[in-house]
Amino acid sequence: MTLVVSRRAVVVAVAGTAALGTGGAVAAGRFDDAIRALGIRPHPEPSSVDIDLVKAARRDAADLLIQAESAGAADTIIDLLREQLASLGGTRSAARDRGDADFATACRAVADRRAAQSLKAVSPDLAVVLASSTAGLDQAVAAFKASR
Amino acid sequence: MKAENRANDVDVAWQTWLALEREAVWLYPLIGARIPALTQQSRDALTAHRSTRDRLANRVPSDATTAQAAYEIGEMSSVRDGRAAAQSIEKRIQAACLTLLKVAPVANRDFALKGLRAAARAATAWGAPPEPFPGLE
Repeated sequence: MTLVVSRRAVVVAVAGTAALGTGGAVAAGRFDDAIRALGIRPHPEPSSVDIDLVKAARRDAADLLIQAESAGAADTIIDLLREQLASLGGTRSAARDRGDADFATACRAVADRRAAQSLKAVSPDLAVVLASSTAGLDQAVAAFKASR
Repeated sequence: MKAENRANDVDVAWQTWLALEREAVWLYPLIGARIPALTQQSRDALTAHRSTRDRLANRVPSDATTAQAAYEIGEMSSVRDGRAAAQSIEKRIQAACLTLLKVAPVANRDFALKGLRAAARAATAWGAPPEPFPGLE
């Protein structure tokens, strides 16, 4: 028997947490209505710990995207970061350019923070998304360094 | 009953990962032997996977898996074949680690996360493109 973690299921679960982190209960309610329409049962209200973790991860993801663009990273890396940001409920316009570290260093630091966030997550689904995106950032660092 | 199911899921997740590490320990010497250009990288990968296999074998609550005499790998005559086989095993290990991370007690998350990150970096080193969510199907 093989167990498989479904990307759709965990991203849907984390999107509910992200909705609470961005627009509060009203946005989360709209999100629940939307996923009910898809025939998926909404998840219970996320913990405040998880909401804070998503907010922090979203800030990092937005900043990292700007840094990758400034560093001239390859499209595969930019697309990866955009997808991660979107899964956390963030947008490109909310990003700030820190511009104080090279992209590989910044990306490695974000990966390590996100790994720590995964270990703290209350929801196993959020832990999975944060862990998986940590591994994605590790791959982005390796690909970026290989391209230089 | 629910607790029993959960314990079974955890057991399956550990054993799935261990079985894949055994497959990797079988695979990498084969890649190195058949494709000289990949010999050193295969040797390094073997060392890493042998270590992980041994650590896993010590942690798995009930080890019901055994190494097989051989595994199905398809064609293995070019650098491209070797890289594809390596990427395949590393991706399957990523999925196994992520499953363990989801179902196992929180105390085991760090171990699973380290395995996931190592397998993701290894896949990239073998030529896999970076993915936003390695290990998620």
